[in-house]
Amino acid sequence: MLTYLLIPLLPFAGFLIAGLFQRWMRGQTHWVCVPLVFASLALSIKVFIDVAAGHTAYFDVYTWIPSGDFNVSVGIMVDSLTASMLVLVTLVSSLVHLYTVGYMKGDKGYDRFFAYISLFTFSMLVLVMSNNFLQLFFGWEMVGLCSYLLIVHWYDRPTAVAASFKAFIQNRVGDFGFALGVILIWVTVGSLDYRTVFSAIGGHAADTISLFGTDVRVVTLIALLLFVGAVGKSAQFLLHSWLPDAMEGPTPISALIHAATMVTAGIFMVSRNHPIFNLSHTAMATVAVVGAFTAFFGATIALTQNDIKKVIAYSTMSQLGYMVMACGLGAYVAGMFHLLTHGVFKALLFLAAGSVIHALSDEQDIRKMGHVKKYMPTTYWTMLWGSLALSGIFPFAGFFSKDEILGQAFMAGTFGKFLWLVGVIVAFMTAFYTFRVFFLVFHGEDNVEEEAKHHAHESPAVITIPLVTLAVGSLLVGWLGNPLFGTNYVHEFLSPVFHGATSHVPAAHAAGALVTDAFAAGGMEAAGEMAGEAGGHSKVVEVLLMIFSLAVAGAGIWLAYKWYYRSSPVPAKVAESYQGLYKGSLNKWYWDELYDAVFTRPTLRLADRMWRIVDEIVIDKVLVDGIGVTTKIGGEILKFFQTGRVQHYAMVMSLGIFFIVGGYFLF
Amino acid sequence: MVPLSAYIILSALIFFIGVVGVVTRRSIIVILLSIELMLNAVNINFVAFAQYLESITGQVFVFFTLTVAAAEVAVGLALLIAIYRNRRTVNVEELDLMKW
Repeated sequence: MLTYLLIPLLPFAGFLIAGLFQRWMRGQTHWVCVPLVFASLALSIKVFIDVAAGHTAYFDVYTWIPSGDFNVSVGIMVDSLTASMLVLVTLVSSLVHLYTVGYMKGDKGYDRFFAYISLFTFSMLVLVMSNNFLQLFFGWEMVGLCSYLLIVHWYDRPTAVAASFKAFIQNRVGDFGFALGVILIWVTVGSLDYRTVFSAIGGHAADTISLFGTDVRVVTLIALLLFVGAVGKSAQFLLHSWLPDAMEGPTPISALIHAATMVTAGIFMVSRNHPIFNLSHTAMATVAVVGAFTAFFGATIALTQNDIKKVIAYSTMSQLGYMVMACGLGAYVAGMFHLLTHGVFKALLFLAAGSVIHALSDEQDIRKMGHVKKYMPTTYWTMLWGSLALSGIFPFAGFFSKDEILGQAFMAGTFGKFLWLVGVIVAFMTAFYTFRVFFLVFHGEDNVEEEAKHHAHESPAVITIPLVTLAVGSLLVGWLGNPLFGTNYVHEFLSPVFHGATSHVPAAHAAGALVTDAFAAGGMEAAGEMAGEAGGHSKVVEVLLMIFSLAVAGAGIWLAYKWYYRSSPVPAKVAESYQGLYKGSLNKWYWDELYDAVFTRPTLRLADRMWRIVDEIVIDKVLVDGIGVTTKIGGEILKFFQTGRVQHYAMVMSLGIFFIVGGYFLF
Repeated sequence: MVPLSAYIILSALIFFIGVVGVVTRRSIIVILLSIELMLNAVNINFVAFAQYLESITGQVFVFFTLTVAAAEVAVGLALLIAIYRNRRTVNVEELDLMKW
């Protein structure tokens, strides 16, 4: 039990020490935070091994909120899903902690930064280890807070401040939906404990609730509300635009929070709540479609961006879309597998990009890079490995996990085939834009500014060690889920978590008949049945699909090579002839402008009106000044009753007494 | 035997004369005299009720009233002299500083 508790508490101790005593240990906080996070990593690995041996854990630590019927505990739940997240979070976090020592060296907020990333690690661990919805919500909000605090790390940059607001507000929209979902769970089931909820929710599958006059199934509503939270946190379409802007924060947090861990919380949450999601075809179809669309949407924008971090950010969004799509298809294992591999290679890409940015004196524009290979060979090779993994090239991690998702989609009926097609197109674009960046940065013409060239250098060991570790990881981690040769360890490890879920599917199907689920009824049940199974589908189709997606990725890389390895006039010409598409992609399909016009500016205008009309006129003029003026005028009128002659006063008094006493006797 | 109502009517009349005097007369001296009338109206009431209720308390109270009245007159006349020295008048209609 202590082991489980220490995993989140060690980084928290790091946060407390670094946060409280930073005055006395300026520039030295990494001596506290880094070892504590590494200790947490070691404990996580121990827990992971325990879980692999079959020792899961589920216990309450203490009662957090005892209040009548409403009892919430702080508790720990460790199963294979949690264990895999634990290892991912602590691994990436430790490496990022180490990387930060080199990357943030000399920054005036160095110690604050360490305090916050430790706090973030704590929050994320609380989130994944929770055994009830309220604690999950606590972790959910805490990671959001840490994300905000870290995006605004350089608080003297107006862009960073704006980006942090954007992240905070868009997340709040999602979290509002999430909170409503949690409340609805409590109203429906009367408990927030995972086990109680998951065993009871099946009995509520047919319950309906009246919403704006129409009857909606409660489980559908719960699932959709929870998914709103996932949309916000995992930057899915409609609440996506905060993620690219969040790149205003320092690169280590882009790698840790906005690629590997926090943004995957949405996928983790959906996987964790699979018993609820599985009960609703509508919700599952929504999840799948939103995921697929986000994957496509993010990839189209990533094609033309010129900021190295923005490209990777949009790619993250797109890959998160893949995972969400997999969850929507019921292929939770595939989604989680991609989450784990993506966490490794995307953190690698961000850290490598950070290494380049650092070497080129904080230059982020890929048009001002080029031929950086000669300055930094280690970064070059690690970035290459990361790019290959992201593109899904054979021996690297991305290949296995992405293929798993595409394969599952292909097997899931007509609806699934359509999603598969979207996925393949996205895979092509992913390979293209990844290598566009790669070639523009490391090959091509040397466009580095003279000033930056003087300082260009390979990064120090604290930066390259995490890079190499993650690069090796992104080569190896995929083999755990290799479906062709030998055992598929990922399936074997994670399936028990989702196995209980599959048994609910027939019940869900029966309940699903109550409402019109025209959209996905066909594909969904096939996918649902596959969720917990390791194999069972034809190996030949799988191999063919693999070869196909490999060819697609290869084509993307080849195109990027043709266009960007040496400077070529073709890209400019293509942009010229499809100007509308090019401009649209470059400007993120004008989504920021749309939100600006629909939400931001009307809100600001409303605030302005409120200030000018309600505050200045109603409150200041009418209420405050009005009371003063009324009193003053009243006084001006009433003063004439004050004649100053004592006899008048005496007469009024006498008459008053006369009338009062007279009245008393009369009535 | 004079009935109680007669005393009360007498007392009320005297009190009313006093009130009218206080409200209407202009000289402070007359106003002070009117106040004296009002006090004595009250005294008549006290004595009448003391006899009617066969209780000595009312009689005792009259002595207090007389004492207070004497003190009041002393203070009132002193104020009157002070006002006269300052304003050269004892007409209350001219003493109207107690306003806005």
